[in-house]
Amino acid sequence: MITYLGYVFIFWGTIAFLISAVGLIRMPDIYTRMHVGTKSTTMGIILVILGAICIEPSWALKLILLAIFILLTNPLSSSVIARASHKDGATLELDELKKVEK
Amino acid sequence: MTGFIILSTFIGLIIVSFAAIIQKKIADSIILFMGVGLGSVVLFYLFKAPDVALTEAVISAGISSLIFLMALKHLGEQK
Amino acid sequence: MNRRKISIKRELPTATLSGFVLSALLILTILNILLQNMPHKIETAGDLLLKLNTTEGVANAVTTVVVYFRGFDTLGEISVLFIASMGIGLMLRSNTKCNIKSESNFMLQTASKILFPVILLFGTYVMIYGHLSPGGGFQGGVIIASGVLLLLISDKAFEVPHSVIVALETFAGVSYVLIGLIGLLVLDTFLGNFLPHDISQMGMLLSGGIIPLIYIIVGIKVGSEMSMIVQNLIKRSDDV
Repeated sequence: MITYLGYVFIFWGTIAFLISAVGLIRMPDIYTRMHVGTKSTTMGIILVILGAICIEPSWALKLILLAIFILLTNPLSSSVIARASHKDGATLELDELKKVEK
Repeated sequence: MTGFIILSTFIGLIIVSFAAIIQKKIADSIILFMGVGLGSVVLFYLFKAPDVALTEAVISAGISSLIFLMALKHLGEQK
Repeated sequence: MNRRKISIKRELPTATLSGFVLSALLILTILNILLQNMPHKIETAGDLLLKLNTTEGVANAVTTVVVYFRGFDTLGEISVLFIASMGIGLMLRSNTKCNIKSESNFMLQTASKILFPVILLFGTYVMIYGHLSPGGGFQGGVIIASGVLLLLISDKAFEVPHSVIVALETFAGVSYVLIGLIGLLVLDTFLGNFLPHDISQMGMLLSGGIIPLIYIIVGIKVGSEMSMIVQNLIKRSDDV
């Protein structure tokens, strides 16, 4: 029974990956692309790891360590990319904040 | 099923490596080269060589692309 | 507000792409024909390797080949890496001045302090368990070098101490050759496995004779050399 629960988790995780991949093509500029590429990828990886834990409970310790590592590194890399692109002078394609400033 | 995955990885690998050759900017082709490394990691794993896959993953993703990028930074973008 | 239409076609030329797909299909067809005419003996190569593997008491087949049967080859690879590191060190001699222009932010500085011990631990794990699971000296060394790279990016003042690197590298190189020569004296082959290696202990951490020892040495050497290469490339006194 718990194996099927694992398959359901993995299915939803891959759906999150698919949404992320579509978003990477669909979004116009680097900030929104980074947003899509980080958030849904983190969720997808966590769901896939949960599914793997349900299927093989003996790997639980290593997989939880892996999940913690990904939760540590993924936001870090996205923040570094955002900082670098801001320094490089990347702008938003659809800038709603310009209206507010005027 | 495994054969289908191997076949599609082969096709993707060939397409990505040709795309890496024809890029105008060098930085783009370095990023595509990282994609070639990723595809070959999958292939090595499917061909039952996890050792080689681990080496390829560590070296292509971690070190070699980074060394390329740093060398590019030192040389400057040449036309 | 007009939404800009985003299409993939804008960036990828269709004619060249279809050419690539066609050539890919051609290559695949040729590969398929070639692989079908292979002799069937290729399937038994794995079994032969496993039989050799049990004589050595190492659970990982690739390790047996790389370290035991081709130990001399590994020595050559290590010296190639050493020469590459030396060349980069000669060409890009690094002074204490650093040309990273921008400060790294607070997040990266904090996270690198947390992540560096984890990466070091993982590299050591890959190194020590090289004879039992996928991994080994080269991989572990490169993982440790990537941890050093994280520290170099995040902290402007950090620098790998040159004397420590020299000591580690010399120690590793000399002990590799010495272990190989002891094997040559005792068992008449370079890198002969002179330590006890029972097949009954296969799969334990302390098994496999000298092979884990060699992997640790290779890991130390590769890690220090790669750290030095990365540091020389990042820090450089003059601007181009």
